[in-house]
Amino acid sequence: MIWYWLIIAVGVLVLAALVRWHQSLLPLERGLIEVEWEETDELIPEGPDRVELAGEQVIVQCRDSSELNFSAVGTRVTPSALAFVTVHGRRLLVLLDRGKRKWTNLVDVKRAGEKGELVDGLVGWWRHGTGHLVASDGMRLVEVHRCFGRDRIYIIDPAKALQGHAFGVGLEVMMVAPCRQLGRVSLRENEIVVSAGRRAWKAKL
Amino acid sequence: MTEQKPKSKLHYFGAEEEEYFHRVADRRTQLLRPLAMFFVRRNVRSDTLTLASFLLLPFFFYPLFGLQYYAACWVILILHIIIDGFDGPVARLGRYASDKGALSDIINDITGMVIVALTAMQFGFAQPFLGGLYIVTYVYMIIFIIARNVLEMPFKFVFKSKYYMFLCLLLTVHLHHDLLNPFLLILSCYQTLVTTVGFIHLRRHLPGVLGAGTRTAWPSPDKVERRKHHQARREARRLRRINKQKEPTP
Repeated sequence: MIWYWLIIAVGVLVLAALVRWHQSLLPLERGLIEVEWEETDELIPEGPDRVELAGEQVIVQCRDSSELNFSAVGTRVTPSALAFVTVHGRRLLVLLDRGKRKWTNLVDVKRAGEKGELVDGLVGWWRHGTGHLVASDGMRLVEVHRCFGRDRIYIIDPAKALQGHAFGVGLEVMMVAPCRQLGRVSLRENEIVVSAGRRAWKAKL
Repeated sequence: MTEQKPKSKLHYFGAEEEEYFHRVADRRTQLLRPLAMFFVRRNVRSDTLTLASFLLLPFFFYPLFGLQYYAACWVILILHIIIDGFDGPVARLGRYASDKGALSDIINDITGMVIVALTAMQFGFAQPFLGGLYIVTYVYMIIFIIARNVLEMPFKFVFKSKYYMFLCLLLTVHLHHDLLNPFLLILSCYQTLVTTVGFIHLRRHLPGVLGAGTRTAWPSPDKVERRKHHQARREARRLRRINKQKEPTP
């Protein structure tokens, strides 16, 4: 009898682990491509807009030297989890929240700046789950997700992802990172540059 | 020009069932859309659902059966079937349906049947010989169906008895009438027959030279001709019958 209860207990533990880490254990695989990573000395360039964080306050210094700031209460954002992207002709700030909700928020900075709150400028969102880095070439978006074994790099069409409220829907291409955990990522026209510590790699898409 | 959706060959349906299966799958996706989108938006992937469905039987169904909590067992079994049914719609709505997922689904389906049959044997509801024979013939049958689908020479129709076996086990447990063992015997004979036919056809189709490609068309042109001939005769008979019914009675 005791063996049956033991099997059930193991089953509960396995199911609990699956519920907790299912995204890291079974990363989404769609449009998987194998790229040839080349080690490079190139530095990942800074974007034309600067985004600074002061606690829960997000300060955006735009290209036209104007400054907007708004509060993103309840979110946990790092500078490498911010990027700008153009969706349907609108320039939006992508804010990858690693707080409790784990959403990728697309924010109209002007509207958010005018009203002072992230939610006021929120145009759309999707649940990234395990994402920790984000970058953009202006149109496409790159999300890097932390998975068991090795990070996964996803290139997303934000317009499609917004429609489905799911990043899987907008997912176009994915690839496996050249090292276990990436520190930064940058996307150019047909080139992706990633770095971890002092090492950097680039690959043609 | 409309783009044709790529279809997976990794399934165990006959040629006549396949079209029906794809139609039902599309309808099921539409029907389950709200709940499936709930999973898609929460990044719960079809592989996760398949794995969860897979874990339910060895870790919950089997021990609960041993503890004689039969009601809980049936709940777990139904949950296994429901979750297994959700993985396809979730993959299609998340737009990541793939052969990898199809393979996981097949393994989940077969393992589900094997675990339920082993449970029935372990706790005395199925004779070991009949249970073993049923499992072996079922697995062989599925292997041959998949092999023939991959080689584009599918069976016309194949009856798959997994869910009927679950039902027979439920009835045997609660009605105290042995329905399961006769069912296992009859279905083992049927599955043996399907496997033998599959093996003979596959062997005939494969080339006699190592590494050579299969050259013969499937089904053979003679057989296609015969089928067309029979179909035309059936159609003519049907038309004659309709015309006869339309003729006014004197």
